[in-house]
This record gives sequence, C-alpha cells and structure tokens, in this order.
Amino acid sequence: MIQEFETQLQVVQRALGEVVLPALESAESHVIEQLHLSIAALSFMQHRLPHARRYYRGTLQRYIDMAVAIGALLAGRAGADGGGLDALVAEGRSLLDRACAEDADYRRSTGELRAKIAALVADAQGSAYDSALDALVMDHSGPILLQDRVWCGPLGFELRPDDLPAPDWKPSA
Amino acid sequence: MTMRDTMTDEDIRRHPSDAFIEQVRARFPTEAEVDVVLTRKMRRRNGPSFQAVPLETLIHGVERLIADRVGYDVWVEEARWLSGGASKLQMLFDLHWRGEGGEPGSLVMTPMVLRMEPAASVTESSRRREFEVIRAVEGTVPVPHAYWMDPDATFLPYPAMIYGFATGSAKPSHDAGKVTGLGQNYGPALRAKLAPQFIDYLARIHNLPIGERPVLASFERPVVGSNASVIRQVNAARRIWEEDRVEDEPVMAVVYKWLIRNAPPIDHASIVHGDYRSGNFLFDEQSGEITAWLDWEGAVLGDRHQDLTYAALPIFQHYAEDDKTALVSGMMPEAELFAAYERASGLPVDPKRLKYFGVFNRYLVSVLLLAASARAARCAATHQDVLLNHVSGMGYLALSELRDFFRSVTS
Repeated sequence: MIQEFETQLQVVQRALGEVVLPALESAESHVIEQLHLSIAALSFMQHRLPHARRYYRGTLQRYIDMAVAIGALLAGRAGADGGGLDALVAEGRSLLDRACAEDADYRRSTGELRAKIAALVADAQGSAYDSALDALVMDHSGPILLQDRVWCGPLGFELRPDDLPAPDWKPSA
Repeated sequence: MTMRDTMTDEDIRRHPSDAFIEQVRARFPTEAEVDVVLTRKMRRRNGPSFQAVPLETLIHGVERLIADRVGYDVWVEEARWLSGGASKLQMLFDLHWRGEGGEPGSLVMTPMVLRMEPAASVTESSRRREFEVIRAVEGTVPVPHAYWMDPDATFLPYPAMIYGFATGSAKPSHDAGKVTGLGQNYGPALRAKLAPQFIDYLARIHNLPIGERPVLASFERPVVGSNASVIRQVNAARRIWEEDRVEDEPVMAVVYKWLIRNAPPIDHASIVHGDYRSGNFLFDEQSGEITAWLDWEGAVLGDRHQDLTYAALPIFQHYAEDDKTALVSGMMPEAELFAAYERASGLPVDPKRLKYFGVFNRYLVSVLLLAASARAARCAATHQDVLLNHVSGMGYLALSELRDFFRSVTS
C-alpha cells in the first residue's frame, strides 16, 4: 500500500500553503487565519502521528507509576480507600503487556486513572493524608506535564522550546 | 446496569442530562447571572451544532433590534465581518439613524459593531454584564460606546450587543501574525508609549466607585472583609471545568481545594476587567495612544490583584531585546509593573494576594484552554473551531505553569 498517512498530510499541506493560500490574498483576514490554522493542525499531525502509540503508552505508564505511589501512601492508613485504584493499575499494566492493545485502550485506561486519582484528591479533603497526597500528585505531575508540553511543541506556543526535556515517550521497563 | 452507568466521561458532557446540569449547578454555586449563562450553554449543547449565520440574517436582526429600541425605522449598510478575537462573532456596519439626539428629520451615519456569541465559546459570558460594565467605565477609560443589547436573543440568533466602532490596531504591523495578545511584542518604541497608559488605565478602573444598582445590576457586590465573592469566582471556574473538560486532571483537583481554603477576604472592591492584557486594547500605531479597551466580557467586581496577576501571566509575556528580561503583556518586568501600579493607583499591592490570584488566574486559564476551548471545538459549537482547537494546545503549557507556580507558592 503506497497511500501512506505521511504522504497524504504532506500533499494537502503543500496544496493549501502553496496554491490555495496565495489565491486568497484578498480574502478577509479571518479566512486567511483559519487556513493558516488548518495547515498548522495538519503539520501537527504529520509531526506526531508516527509517535502517537509510544506517547500514549508512556503516558499510561507514568500514571500507573503515580497510582502505585498513591497506593503505597494510602496503605495502612485508617479511613483511606483507594476506591479501585489497584484494579485500574492492573488493567493498565495488562494493556501495556498486550501487543495487540489499541491506542484507544491506552487512552481510556489513562483517562480512568486520571479521573480516579482526581477523585481521591477531592475525597481526601480534611483527612490525615490530604497534604501528603496533594504533594505526591504534584511531584508526579511535573514530568508528565513537561512531556505533554513537548508533545504540543509543534504548535509553537513555547517561549523557549529548547529548555524543554527531550521527548521520552517510551514506557519504563 | 443503567444506560447512565455505561456512559463515558465524554458522553456525559457531550450530551448532558438535566440531572447532570443541576448537580453541577448545586455543587458550585456562583453569581446568579453567571449561573444563567453557564446553564444556557449546557442546555444548548443538546441542540444542533453551530451553523454559520449569513450577514443578511444579522443585518435584519440588527435593524429590528435598533428600531425596537429607538422607536423608528433604521437601516444598515456596508455590513462586513470583523476579524479578531477567539470568542465572539463580530459584524461591522454603518447604521443610518437619527443619531443620539433622535430628532425627527435628522439623518446620521454611525459605524457600529455587532458582537454576538456563538453556540459555545472559550469564555461563556453574559452580554448583559458586558454591556453594563462598558457603560460603567465609559469616561474613565477609552471604550467604544455601548448602544443596545439583545441579551436574550429576541432579535438575533444568539445573545448580542451593539457598540460603537473604535479605531486602532490590536497588533503592531511588524508582529501581525500572532494570535492576538499571546506573546505580543510591540517593540521598544511603541512599548515605551503604551506601558504608562497600560498602568494608568488599570489604576483608573480599580479606583472607580462601583456605585449602587441599577449601575452594574447583573453583578453581585463583594463585601469588604469577606471572601465569599472570591469563592464564587473559584466555583465558577470549577463549574466550567466540570461541565466542559475532556479528561480529568489531578493537578486541577489539588489546586481547587487550595483555592477554596485560602481565598482571601476582599480589602477593596474594584471593577476587575478580567482579561486585562496585551491584545485586548486598540492603539494608534503612529501616536502610540491607546484608543479603546476591549473584551470586558470577563469583568467581575472583586480584587484588583486578579487583574494585576492576569496581565503578568507567562502566556502573555515575551523576552525583551536582551533575550533575558521577561516583559509582562509586552510592557515591562513584573516587579516594575506592580510598583508602577501601586504609585499610579494609590492602592497597596499585597504579595500574599498576588500569590493567591497568581494561582487563581493560572487555574482559570487552564480551565479555559483545556476544558472550554477544547469542548467548544469538539462540539462544533463556534465559527472559530479551528482556532479554539489550536489554542487548546496551549493548555498543557498553562497547566504545567500552574503546577510549578503552585509549588513555588505553597512550598
């Protein structure tokens, strides 16, 4: 099959940027802006599509790591209940071990972990482990968010993109 | 298992049930007019996607609205789209009417702007409040005159207002490619002229007496010594997060708890612009004079530190020519801005409140980018879906910055 995604995205961007855009010189500015943004969206896809699977796997792994750390924090504390966090960790690990898992499975599992952790943070209000849980979440979130920023780098919002860490979209062993 | 049990987080927000809408309203109480606007947004979500509105529809609606308000027939010519901004549809037009005096037999042409909301927006807001606050500050800072409003969409497809056309540019011609206000670089010469005005107008807004109703009738009055109005604002942001988010973020849960626990009491009630930054004013490029302050839709009555810290947000900064000095809103270093404001306003700048509202504004921006913008684009709810989708990509920068700033404040 020669119809590769990379080629599709490349030819559409060239057509829009080199043929359509110059022909719209006299159009209203919001029309031009929307065309520029459409090209930017296609360029983002071209840059990131080849890495998507590793990025989703890496993100899932990092939230598993966060969840495991939370489980350790809550273990043995009176009144602390992980509320099914262990099961979500097990499911996430299982997905990472399955070669046939879909990208959508990784994203769903990550989303469930994020939601569960956010709910635990909210429910911890006033508990003895409230501040420790908050601190743990903030510690683990730092590197995750830096990788999210790297992922969004092609959109061009970073003041100093060179200051960001290198992409690290592989799950740890 | 019910159908509700099998719905995903995305399903619940894409097609919100009445029960979900009411549950979120109850959990996060806020100002009455804000509640009306957010509830309307959620109910619209179950309706059709936003359909492009032809100019002819708007012209007809504008003529009927104005005729209803002035009591005689008027007509519109030279209608065209006005670009700029990510949230509202704007149509520039020439109104033929009798003018402010309304004398029968007189005929005047006045350029005006229709500002109408789409089905959803990066900043879901009240045209009623926007209209009231522009009326309140007119004469204190340069603003386009607010003529009429259609807050309940009686004449137009969506709620709208009409104001006078203000001349000037939002971006300098040498840096016109930027999404307005994001890292806007005015250059040294223009910056030197704009920066003192930027400070002076902020001081004037914050010192303007709020007055009694019916002035600013849709705004609830903060009580000096109480933090209730601050908590209402935090709840408004949190409500948008609950209604619009695409996926949950543990960082947002941590910061919300802190914002509620640490909400400071109001020490001086001010009109707060809510979006005071580079890109939200027009200026004359030759004289360097600010000709109009725009985008009052996020205005609240509250704490001046909210505007100060918003103007200083990193997403509105760029580096000066030395490549080392960060200029807030393209104007000056943060410490200089706060000191200059204190001198101009005579109001104290409290470091503790700066920290609180620094966290609040970063939280709010994260909500608007990762939730409101992303949701509106996904729901095909605006005329600018591609723009809102684009800026939602800035959400992780905002969230990362929120996390880092929060750590610096709470450590």
